[in-house]
Amino acid sequence: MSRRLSVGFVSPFPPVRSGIADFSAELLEALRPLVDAVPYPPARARRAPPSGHDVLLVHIGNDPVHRGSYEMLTDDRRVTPAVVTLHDYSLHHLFAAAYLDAGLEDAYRRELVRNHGEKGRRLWERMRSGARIPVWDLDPWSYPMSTEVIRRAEIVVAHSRLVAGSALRAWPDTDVVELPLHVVPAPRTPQEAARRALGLPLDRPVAVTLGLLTPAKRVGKILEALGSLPSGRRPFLFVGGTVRHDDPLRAAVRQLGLENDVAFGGYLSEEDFWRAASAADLAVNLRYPTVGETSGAVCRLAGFGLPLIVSDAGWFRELPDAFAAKVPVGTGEVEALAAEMSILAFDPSQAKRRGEAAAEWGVRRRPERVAEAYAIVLREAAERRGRPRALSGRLGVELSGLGVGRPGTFHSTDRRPDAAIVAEVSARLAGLLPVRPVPSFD
Amino acid sequence: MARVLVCNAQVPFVSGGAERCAASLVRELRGAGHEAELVQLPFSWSPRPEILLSAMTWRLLDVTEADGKPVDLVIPMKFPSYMVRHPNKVVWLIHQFRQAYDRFGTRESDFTALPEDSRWRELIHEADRTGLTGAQRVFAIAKNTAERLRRFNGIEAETLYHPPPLAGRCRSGESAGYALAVGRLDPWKRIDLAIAAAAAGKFPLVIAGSGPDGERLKKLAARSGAEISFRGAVSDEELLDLYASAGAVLFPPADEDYGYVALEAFLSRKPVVTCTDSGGPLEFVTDGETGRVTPPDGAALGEATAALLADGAAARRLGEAGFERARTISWSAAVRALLAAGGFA
Repeated sequence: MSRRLSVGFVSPFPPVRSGIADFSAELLEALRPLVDAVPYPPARARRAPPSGHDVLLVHIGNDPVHRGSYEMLTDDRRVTPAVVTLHDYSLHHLFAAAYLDAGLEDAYRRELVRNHGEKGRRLWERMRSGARIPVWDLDPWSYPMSTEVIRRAEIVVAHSRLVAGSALRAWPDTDVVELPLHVVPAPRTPQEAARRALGLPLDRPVAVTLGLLTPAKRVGKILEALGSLPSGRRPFLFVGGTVRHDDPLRAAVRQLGLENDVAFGGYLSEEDFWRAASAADLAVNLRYPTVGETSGAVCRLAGFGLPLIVSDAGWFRELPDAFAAKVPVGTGEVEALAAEMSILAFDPSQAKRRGEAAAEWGVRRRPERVAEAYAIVLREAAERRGRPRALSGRLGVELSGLGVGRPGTFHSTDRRPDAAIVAEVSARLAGLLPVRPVPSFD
Repeated sequence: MARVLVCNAQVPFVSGGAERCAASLVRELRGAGHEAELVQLPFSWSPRPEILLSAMTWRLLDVTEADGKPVDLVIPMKFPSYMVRHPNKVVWLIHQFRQAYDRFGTRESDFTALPEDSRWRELIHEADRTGLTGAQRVFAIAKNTAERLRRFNGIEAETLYHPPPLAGRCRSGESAGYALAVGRLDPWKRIDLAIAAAAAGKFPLVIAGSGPDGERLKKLAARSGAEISFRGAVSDEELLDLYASAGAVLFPPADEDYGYVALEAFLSRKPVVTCTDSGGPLEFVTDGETGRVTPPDGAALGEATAALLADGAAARRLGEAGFERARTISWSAAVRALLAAGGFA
């Protein structure tokens, strides 16, 4: 098959407001010189499955907007092979919102059982006989509801080793390739002008934390860390994202005496996001808990050339130490944060070195390079010549023998360690297999 | 004659009691007329997946035969070498991966209480269960190690002691009036307690050993005002001399697996001062009989040690009793027990 590949690209696209929509639009543009790609919003794909293509490229996340993509993917009548990019490892939110919240309990039960078998059936029985259990928040790693997607994909694309390993653990016979979230070049404003535009101080280092604000972003911890620093050693903190007037974060600012050290910027337009990045000397973007997601904001900020402080958890743990300082979650978190903020804010040479490493990391992830890798993977899927199945036979048996994937005496439900081990084994095994000729992003 | 493989995991460039024990076992097996070889694989605990990948590497090894001839018996000793598969496996456990067990919750373990770390610890427990229950028999180098295995894993092990590395070469001499502390300078050995004891008891202290905690301990010693001499990593001969001339040996580790230092002190006819939470040494040091056992604080340790240094007759009496206790421990008994468990009576 040497003619141009025809690709049905199933994903939300703008004007839908989501990171995946923006990302898909950028990737679509980057793919155009390489393949013939036709966009299909999920709802349309569900109504009329894309046909006449060599291969489908499906970008899926845990938002209910992806319901159509899921139903199209799991439709037994589909014959076109699909490459599936798993933006979140746990898709449970999608089912909770698209089925449970919409009163489609039977559909939810069916998918719970389809993805988790007997375990799913037992959970449903518990939910039916008692209160609704939000396992998608409480225990997403045990009930990720992504197994069917992984099983039905010809090739799964993961953005992290964590998710790659999780996918392999869920369905050892799958073919997983790790491709990064791409990083677009960003518009840059001179720092002073950016600060003036946002009303930020000109005479102090500025740290930013940007992106959708949720409790998992741990902004309270950042404030605590800031408050623990002597006033002369505090960077100014700019928090992008909506913070309501009665949000406890505002009270925390007052309690910690940080009124002159923190500004809340509210929801940031695309333009203001880059303006905030231009104004900053460093970025602090924490995340815990995590369901294996990759942070688009962190990728963009790194690609912009900002040194980062992130949580030592999930995908964030995989970011290179050269520019991402990792702070522990819980014990020692505030102290480590304070120390790192102080270093990056007041040691310009250190911040510069890390910022340069971050920018280089971003350059290696430009959309055209990522698209090139996608084109290779799409052709392999179209020709159904995925790599030899990664985890089979002896290694799987040995891993299982050591307890990986099996319950243990602590009754732990967290399976990230299992995923990490499987990813590690898979990566090492990959060195023994024919090389997939995708460019290196490291 | 049996063909025996002794299996051990080693952190490259780090050598301690476990490595000496494994090498000694090979030597003793050969001395008893058997073919013996040491199989070592590097072990790393960081990043976390390495821990279980090391375990899996041992599982993947085929040690059932070598050079076309069967291997009759394997004797793995340290985590995760006992994951190795063999139809005739006799474990002689030096220690498990203690950060996931008794060290959890202390500053010596970097496992947190977060769910992810809890699962890591659980996986280590599961792997241990797999590796240890696949053995014909499990011995432990000390009651302390056996007790941990019973408490955390529900696995019974028989204690099998062995002589310390300097056994057979130890000598006794007149006390030169100092207390001796021996060991790698790391936090687990609690040399800082020995320093505090010297300051409280106002006696000279000689410290033999090197390690990552060295600089901190030297600063601590300088601030303590006590007469303290750091000798660094000394040769065996120097160490034998230091034991021989010591008035008492101060050995206050935190929950030590076994305690070569206590046994070497006894074989040099010196009393040992240790702590109520020192673990392995307590299997040999009995308060008032072979040494002194005090709470783990500098004042109590200092008082007990100073009293022994001041009363030469008492120190000699306790040292002699210690000697009688230690001299019953022999390699031949250990080798015999291991081989018998493997069907080579």
